Amino acid sequence: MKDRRLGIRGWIYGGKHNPERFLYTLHRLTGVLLVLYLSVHILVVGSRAFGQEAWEGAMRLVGLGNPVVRFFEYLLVVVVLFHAVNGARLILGELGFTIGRPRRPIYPYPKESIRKPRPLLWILMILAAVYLAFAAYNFFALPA
Amino acid sequence: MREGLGWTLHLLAGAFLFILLLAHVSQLHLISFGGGEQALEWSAVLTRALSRPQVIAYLVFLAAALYHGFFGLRNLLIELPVFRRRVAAVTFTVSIIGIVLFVYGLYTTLALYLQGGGA
Ligand code: HEM
Repeated sequence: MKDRRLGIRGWIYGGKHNPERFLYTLHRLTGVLLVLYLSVHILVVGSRAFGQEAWEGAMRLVGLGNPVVRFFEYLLVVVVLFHAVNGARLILGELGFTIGRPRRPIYPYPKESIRKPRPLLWILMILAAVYLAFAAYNFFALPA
Repeated sequence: MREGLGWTLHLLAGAFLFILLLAHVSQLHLISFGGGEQALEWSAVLTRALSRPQVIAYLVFLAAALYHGFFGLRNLLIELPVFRRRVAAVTFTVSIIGIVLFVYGLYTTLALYLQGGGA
């Protein structure tokens, strides 16, 4: 029989094009990026235990003060905000908030499963965007 | 489907991280909240490293982020056909990496705190 499992494509392919599908892909992508960042981050900030020289050396090594590095630091904040806010949405869904009661599937089917979650999704994304706009002002408009 | 304890803890850690991570990002990356380069000067690093509430927050954060991150990584790895029959091996490998990072983070945080008379 043909193997219909998606394999690595299943990490990215979200099926039909509901916004939730794209968020699924982005959540996974940002999750993996954060694990990689966290691992390097723990090693870099650990240098502080070995004194001022080690710390300042580590900060030079990662390019503190370099505008390109600063830009990537902002991208990191974007990744964090997206994963955090979307994660909050997923936790609310898991706990059963906003998704309505289960019902007998009688035609025409009520759109209960997205009636509240969909607006919630946009509200959360707007909140993330507001934080990110404030962060952009901090990163690029205020003197460092 | 009923989920295991591991998944419940993943969500619980996620909820904790929501607060800790947003606080952490604001504190260290946003100039308006004292973040940016000023927060990375040695004197600022040392002030935080010797503060007991800060150290406690760091350690809770460290454990929650590593658990959540590596459990999440395991979950997506075991979806792959190659790892389907090797779930225990994936869990083991991922746990070892997480534990090593945790011990290193714990050591570097506590070493400075205890050395600096923060005890
Ligand atoms: C800011 C707070 C965070 C919240 C609220 C959060 C929430 C979540 C939730 C609810 C999931 C499960 C998604 C699903 O339903 O499959 C998840 C997955 C994941 N998270 Fe987080 N998370 C946070 C921070 C982090 C951090 C700091 C890391 C990295 C160290 C991380 C790495 C991951 C990974 C790798 C996955 C698995 C992705 C997947 O299976 O598609 N998360 N997160």
